[in-house]
Amino acid sequence: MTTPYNKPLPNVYNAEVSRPYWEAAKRHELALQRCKPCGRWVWFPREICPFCLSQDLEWVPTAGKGRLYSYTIVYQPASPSFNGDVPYVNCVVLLNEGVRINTMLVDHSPIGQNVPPVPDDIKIDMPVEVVFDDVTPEWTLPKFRPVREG
Amino acid sequence: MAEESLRGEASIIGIGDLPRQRSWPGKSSLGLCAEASKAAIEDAGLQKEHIDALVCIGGAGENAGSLKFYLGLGGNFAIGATMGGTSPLVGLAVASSLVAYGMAKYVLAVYGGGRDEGNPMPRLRQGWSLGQEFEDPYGVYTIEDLTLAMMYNRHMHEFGTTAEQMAAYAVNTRFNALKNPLAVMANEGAITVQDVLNSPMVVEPLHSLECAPLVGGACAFVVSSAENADAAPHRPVYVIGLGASTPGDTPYLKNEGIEYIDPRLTLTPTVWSAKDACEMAGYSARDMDLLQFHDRYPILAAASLEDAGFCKKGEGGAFLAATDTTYKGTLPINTDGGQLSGGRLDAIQGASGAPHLMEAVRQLRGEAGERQVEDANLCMVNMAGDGLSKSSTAILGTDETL
Amino acid sequence: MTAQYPKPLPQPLNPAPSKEFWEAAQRHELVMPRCTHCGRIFWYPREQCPNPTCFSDARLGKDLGWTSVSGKGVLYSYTVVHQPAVGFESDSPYIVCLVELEEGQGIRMMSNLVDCKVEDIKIGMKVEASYDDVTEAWTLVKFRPV
Repeated sequence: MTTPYNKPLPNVYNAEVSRPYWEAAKRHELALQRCKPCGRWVWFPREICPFCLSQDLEWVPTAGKGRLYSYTIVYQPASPSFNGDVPYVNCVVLLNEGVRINTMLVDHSPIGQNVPPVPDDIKIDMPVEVVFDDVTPEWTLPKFRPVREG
Repeated sequence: MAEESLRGEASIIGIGDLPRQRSWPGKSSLGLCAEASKAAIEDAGLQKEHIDALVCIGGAGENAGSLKFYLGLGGNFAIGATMGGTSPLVGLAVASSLVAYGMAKYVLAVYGGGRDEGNPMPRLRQGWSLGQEFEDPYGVYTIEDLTLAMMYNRHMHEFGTTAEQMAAYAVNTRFNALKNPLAVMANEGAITVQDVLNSPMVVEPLHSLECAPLVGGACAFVVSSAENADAAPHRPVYVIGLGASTPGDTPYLKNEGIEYIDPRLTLTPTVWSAKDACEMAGYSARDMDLLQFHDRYPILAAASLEDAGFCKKGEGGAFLAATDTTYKGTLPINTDGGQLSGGRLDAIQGASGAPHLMEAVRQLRGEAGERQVEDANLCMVNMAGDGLSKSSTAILGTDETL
Repeated sequence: MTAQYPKPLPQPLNPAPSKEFWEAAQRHELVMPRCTHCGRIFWYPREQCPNPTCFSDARLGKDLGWTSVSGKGVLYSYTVVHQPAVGFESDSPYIVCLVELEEGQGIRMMSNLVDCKVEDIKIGMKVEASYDDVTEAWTLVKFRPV
């Protein structure tokens, strides 16, 4: 019997705008908006390009790769629903496309899955890649893990 | 550079105004604000990079920080001007001060909100209030409607104001709206006094045709110093007078019991804000060519007109019934249909009357098309906030009245 | 089994400067905040006297106390609500009013006018407090014609 997912699910601000992001995630694809006239990548999803104010934005799959820009190891979560995950890693990933995204770092230890995170294993600037966590039948959350050889 | 007065130091050089619609499916408040902002920046003949300060009016895009980020704006200040319905003019005051002192060259101010489609009900109240604990248990169907209805009843009791007088104003305002493609009632046809009186009661004595319909949309404007206004593509509109008055928190309670605050429910803070605006401008009520007065309910316009000095206290009803307030009339009021027929922009910390400011600018530029008032050179804009607890007044002019 | 009360109950601040007001209401008494410094009664309850010549000094517990009032007043204004607030559907139409207390000083309480037909309402009519024990923990102060 699967336990119900009791952590916060995405609280959608504008479904029309962000639906493609979440649908891509379900397909295990990390997609971002790209402004057609000026070619810049845009994050968070929105109705207008913050660089040139054009409304002509399209959704494009990314490479799903980047580098760890910064991170923190959480010992006191804001929501009690995360108590079972403590300690866990919140981080900012700088995608190869040049966009910074707030996310979680998983699989941080080369030894195994259930090893607590330690700073020795987590290096700023290390290469990371996207993985997808199907938390419920409706929602998939993109997360990141270190790229490892072999 | 500002000396002793803000009079004439600032100019509105660009406006962006979206149609008022009952709902904007698929659009968020931030998105609507962004569209209006883009239009205002282009209207001012500028690029986004020229904007170096942002004033977030009311709950525009949730807060100033989010809005600035969303628009990708640079510059220094991002200021929230949140004072209920008076927010657009408070935002104008802030923007004017920034440019007058050279703290910013071009200030973008914006307000907007998309109506939540899943919830057609109006908001109970605009934001937190000390009175909430003591009011909500009694069945507040929006504290705003309630307060104005009680003021209306009191106005009828003290002065003999009638519903027919209020309906006459509503008829004229609808007439104006029919010539404004942005107005929510633009295609709903003319109404008669009887139509108003026959419309269902909301909170007595307010009939539904005396209550402005809730809509979504967005309004934005760009402010520069008067010197920099000459380079803009449109005729500059100058800020000549400004005033505000905030004696209250909850919509009806003006810190009752404090000597310097007149506790009469029928007296609006416009008494003080209009006085200050006229003093700064060096003009009086009779100098105005046209007015843009908050008219979420005709009784609000009536009481505000009294307090701004257009007629004696208590005579607002008779005044409105006897005056042709259409765009072709003797004293044009709300030439765009006001909020009553134009729509009341709804968002958290609402600044529902932002469209009044847009129309004032259009009229003074000479760009109001079929609704154009001849020789429009001086316009008083008056806004009421949180029912009756706040007000702000601006007097806008052209180079002829500077 | 008590039916659930579907309407909004008071949600005081924490800590609540209004505590004594609601406790008195449960005893079917009406009390108002009063500043012992300047003697003014004021409404709503708060931690400082709002009288501008006084307010820097008077603090709740020190100079601000509570005084019993008669519960009598006059109807200052009212409205008959035809489009009910959520939870009030079965009461519609109902009367929301502003009552000016006989103690004066501009005190006006928002409340419901009860035991009164719509056609009998008159601004200026005499009213008195009527206590509605809506739940075990809360009593609302309403007004009825004298």
